[in-house]
Amino acid sequence: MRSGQRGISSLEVATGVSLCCILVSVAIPGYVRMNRAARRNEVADNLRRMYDASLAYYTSERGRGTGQARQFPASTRIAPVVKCCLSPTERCLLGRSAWANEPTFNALAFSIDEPFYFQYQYESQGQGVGANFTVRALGDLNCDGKMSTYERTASVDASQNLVETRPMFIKNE
Amino acid sequence: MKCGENMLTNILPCYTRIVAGVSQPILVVVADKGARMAAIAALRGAGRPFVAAADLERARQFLSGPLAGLVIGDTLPDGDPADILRKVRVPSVVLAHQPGAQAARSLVASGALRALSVAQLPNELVSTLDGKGESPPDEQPQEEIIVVEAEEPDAATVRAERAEAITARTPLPKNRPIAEPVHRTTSANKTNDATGAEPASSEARRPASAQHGEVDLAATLCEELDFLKRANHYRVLKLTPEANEFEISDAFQRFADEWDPARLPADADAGMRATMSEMYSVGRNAFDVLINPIRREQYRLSLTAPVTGSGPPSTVPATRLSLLTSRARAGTRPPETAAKPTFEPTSKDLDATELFADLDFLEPLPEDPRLQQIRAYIRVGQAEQAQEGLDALLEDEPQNEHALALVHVVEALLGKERTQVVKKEVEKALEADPDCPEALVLQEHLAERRANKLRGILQHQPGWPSRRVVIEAIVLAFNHSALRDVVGTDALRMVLTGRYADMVQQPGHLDLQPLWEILKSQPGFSVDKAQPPLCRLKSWEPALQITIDLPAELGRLTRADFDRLAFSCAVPEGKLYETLRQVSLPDRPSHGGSGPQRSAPIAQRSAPAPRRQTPAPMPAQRAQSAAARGKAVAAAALAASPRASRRERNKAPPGNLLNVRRVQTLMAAAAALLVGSVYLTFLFKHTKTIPLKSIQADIPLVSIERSGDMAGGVLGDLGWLYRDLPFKKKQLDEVIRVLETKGITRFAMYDVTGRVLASAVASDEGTVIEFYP
Repeated sequence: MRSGQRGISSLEVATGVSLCCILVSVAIPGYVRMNRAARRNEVADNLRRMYDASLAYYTSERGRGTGQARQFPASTRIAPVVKCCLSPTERCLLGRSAWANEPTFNALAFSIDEPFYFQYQYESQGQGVGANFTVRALGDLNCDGKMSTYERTASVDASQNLVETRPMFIKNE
Repeated sequence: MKCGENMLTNILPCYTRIVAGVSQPILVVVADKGARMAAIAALRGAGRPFVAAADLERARQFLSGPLAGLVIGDTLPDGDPADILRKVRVPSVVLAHQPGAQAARSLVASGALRALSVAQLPNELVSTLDGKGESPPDEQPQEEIIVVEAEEPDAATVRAERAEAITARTPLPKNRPIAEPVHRTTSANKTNDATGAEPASSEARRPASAQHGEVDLAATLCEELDFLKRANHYRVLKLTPEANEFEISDAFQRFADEWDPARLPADADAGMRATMSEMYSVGRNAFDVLINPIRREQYRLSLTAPVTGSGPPSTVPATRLSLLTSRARAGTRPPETAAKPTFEPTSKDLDATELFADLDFLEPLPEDPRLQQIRAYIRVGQAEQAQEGLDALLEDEPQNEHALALVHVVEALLGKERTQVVKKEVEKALEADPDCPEALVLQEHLAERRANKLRGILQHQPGWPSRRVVIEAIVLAFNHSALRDVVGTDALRMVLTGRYADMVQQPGHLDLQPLWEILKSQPGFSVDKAQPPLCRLKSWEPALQITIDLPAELGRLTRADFDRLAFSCAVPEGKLYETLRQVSLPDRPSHGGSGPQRSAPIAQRSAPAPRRQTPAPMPAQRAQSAAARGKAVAAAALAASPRASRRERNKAPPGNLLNVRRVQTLMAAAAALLVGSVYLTFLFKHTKTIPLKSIQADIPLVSIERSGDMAGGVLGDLGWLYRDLPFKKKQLDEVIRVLETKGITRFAMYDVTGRVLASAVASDEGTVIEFYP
């Protein structure tokens, strides 16, 4: 504004609006990153629950199979079978009974009561020493065909101890 | 002590004695001694007590006491008579120094009973003060009013006021007599004119006062003429610098009433007629200047700029002459030793009388009387007579350096049209005589003239177009009009360059009148040819960011005519912008360059590389600012030109941070960025919608979205879930099989909240269909 003038000109208004637009545009990616971080929290939380439940299962009496050798729950299909980005809300929701109908998730007492973004899968193999399992979360948040993968894996070493084979594996975050 | 003439020295005792007496005195406040004595005589003759004062300061001493009346002059040396008139609420009479004087009229309007002349005093003063007066002053026949010759102030006062009026160029108060033309002042002359019995002699044409030997009318007229020539235009017409057009017209009408030679009798003396014609021409010239706003502004600038020190600071340094004249003004005027020749101005550009006016206040040089005579000739502009005198003097004294210097001064005056000649002659004169006052005056005049020109050219502000821009715009308009055949491009550019200072008297203001004056004199010129380019030029005002004044001859065009004329000057699309942009570039490519000659503007194409001095290298900063300014002008031209090409319009203008083009660009970028960001983040989906018709499913699906080998459908009617399981499986199986043909192997069905209702996975082993409770 020039000295001696009152108010602001249309040019100045337009400039201000433009600058605001630019600021918003710059802020949007930040908002997206924040959302993704929240989704990663969902993944980490659910994988941790499955992972801990799996360890508990192994050390409990339930882990003792017919051959007297301890084992992890059997592998399961991915649930749900279709990625959640195809849902009208871009998030899936499965009822408790749906989770309970799957024996492995039932054995792990795993269910998600809130809408979620990822598909979950449990894989295991072996008995006794060398037995291992992997809890996995798969997601395609924007449905662009690139699946993000989060995995945690643990195995039984020679001392019958449960050890995490590697830190959380992340692909296409 | 006798009260009366001698009261001024011992006022109060006399006044006290009068007040203690029976009657109250009448206060006489008149500056002119003769008029004051006449008033006193009238009062004394009527046996009325009085007190008298020559000015307001002394008159104020009497205001506290009772007064019977007031006789006051219409002009007083130390203030406005109206002040005392307002304070004294007694019968008052104004003593007019001149018939019908404006000052007297205004005083009557302020409350005085009448305005009387000296001749009326014996008969009418007392009766008027006693309330027995008759006709108001306006009804008094002018022929019966005799001019009152006001007392001539002392010589030092006159010199000081004239010097102030001439040098400070301010209106001079009317404190000196101006003789009235005889046909308006004397009833005797009227009789002569009416009868025509005897030719009007010079004696008969004098005013009544002159007939009594008080004034030599011819000499008075010459003196008045000399005074008017040296006074400024405002003073000539008795105006203030703030006067409006109506006041100027009225003032000139009054002036014409007084000095129009046509009002002289047919048999009037030829010399007097010539003198009055000249006086009338002075007034006419003043009127012509003041009534024209452009010329008036130019005149105002010429008054304020060079000498006074008020207004814009002058670039002329103080010279020895300035010191000499200022010193002289403080002293007294020297007696005139040389005979003053008759005035005949020989030049308007170098008006010697005005030029050397200040020299009248210098002490005369102790030199040969013949030299003094020659100097007198020079100072009134009679260069030829001065030359003759110098020839005679140099025959006797060939080595007289003063005379040699004056020879060059005379040569300079004779070569007044060519500045270079004047400059060289002045230099030679100062070589011969470094203290030659006339040469110093000319030197100062040259410096002032140069400073004035430079001021017009150099006063640029950011945003104003440069001289080249203005000139090229004019040339461009002319090149696309019929005037192209009348004025060549090169000649036009040279003329514009030479007259630019006259055209741009005020920065940011282009006056086309000087150009018009030049064009008028060109063979083949016609108004019809000149109107279109000038109107076109005027239409470029926003583009050039300069106010353009059309010539007065075009001033009465209607808006429609103006638009039509401007449109008829068809400058090609974007030509103005292109020309201005080319002109504004600091490093302009040469004409012989490899650039496309066809695309160059006409102004540039035909540029003759005129002979001119190589300009001093421009500092980088100035060059950049000039370039930026020029580009801004060019950009503004682009914005103002509706016919500019898209490519030209898309060029972002440099210059101010906040200009329309920049903000538009910024807004567009910001909007695109925002929309793009929002769309990509929130609206854009990588999924593809599969048309429901292509599925031909019986399941009440609302939509099906696909991503890769997966698809998700939204169930519109949840009642379908309560159908038989085999039925549902069958329908779902049909759907997955159809989708399988599209490369989709997994299908899930959702409700609108995202809850997974069912899924179908096609594999080699068959379709796995699952419903979620």
